[in-house]
Amino acid sequence: MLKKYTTLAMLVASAAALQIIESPLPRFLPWLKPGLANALSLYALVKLSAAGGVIVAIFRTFLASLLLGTLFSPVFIMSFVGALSSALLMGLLYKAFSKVTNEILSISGALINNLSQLAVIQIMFAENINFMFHIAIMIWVSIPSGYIVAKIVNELLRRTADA
Amino acid sequence: MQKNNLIFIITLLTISAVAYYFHFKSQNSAQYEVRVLALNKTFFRPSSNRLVVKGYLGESVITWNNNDEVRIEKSPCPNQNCVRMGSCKNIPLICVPNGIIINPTVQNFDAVTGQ
Repeated sequence: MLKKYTTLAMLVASAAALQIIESPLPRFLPWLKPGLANALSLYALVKLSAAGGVIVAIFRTFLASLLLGTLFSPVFIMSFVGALSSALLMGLLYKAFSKVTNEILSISGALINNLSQLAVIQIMFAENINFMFHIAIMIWVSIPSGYIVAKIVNELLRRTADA
Repeated sequence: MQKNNLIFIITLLTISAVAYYFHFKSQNSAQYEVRVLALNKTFFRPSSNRLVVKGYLGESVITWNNNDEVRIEKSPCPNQNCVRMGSCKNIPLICVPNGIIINPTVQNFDAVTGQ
């Protein structure tokens, strides 16, 4: 039990660090970012449990926002909703389909993360968003980013197989 | 690459292509509202691409072509400035004497990209 909590704490800290490193990178669109922090949610989901993935997603957004000084700001809400919906969907898919691969989980997570962030923008700031355009672009961005994240997770899982 | 992953990616790319097609289609079909001040009413582009409205002076004929350009074909106004404007796209057409305002609507404006 203690080992599980320690692993979770380390994953939350690492995911928050990755989110902080990612945050100053320039973005062409508000939702466009590599999403490396999502790798550790996926790792927690596969290595520990579906709940582990959700816990990492929730706590890493809180921790990263606290350190970045954006806690409870619109940026935090976007980040939180995106990470939570992504972790929930990945957990649901993982539980529902036994043969689902990490690549499918990761790409789905990346896509739902972007979509929910766009939905937050629509609800909070702007009524007029061309969803069709954003969905088309999001899919093109989510596939390579989700695939890279899945490869990172596969490598992490391989290296920590007997840990 | 595993077969499952490939099928999943191809499905997503198909959805992306369909979404882009609908986006492209909506971008190319400029929307206009035709306001008739005399009637205090707003009309939209009919399927026949020809709209006849009665203004202060009489009937104006508004037509659309296949390139989504709009023009005032006939007008009872004395100077016929609105008719001489010819076909326009994405700019307003106004006939002051007959009280007709043809405005491009801003349905395609995207608040995120500003395009």
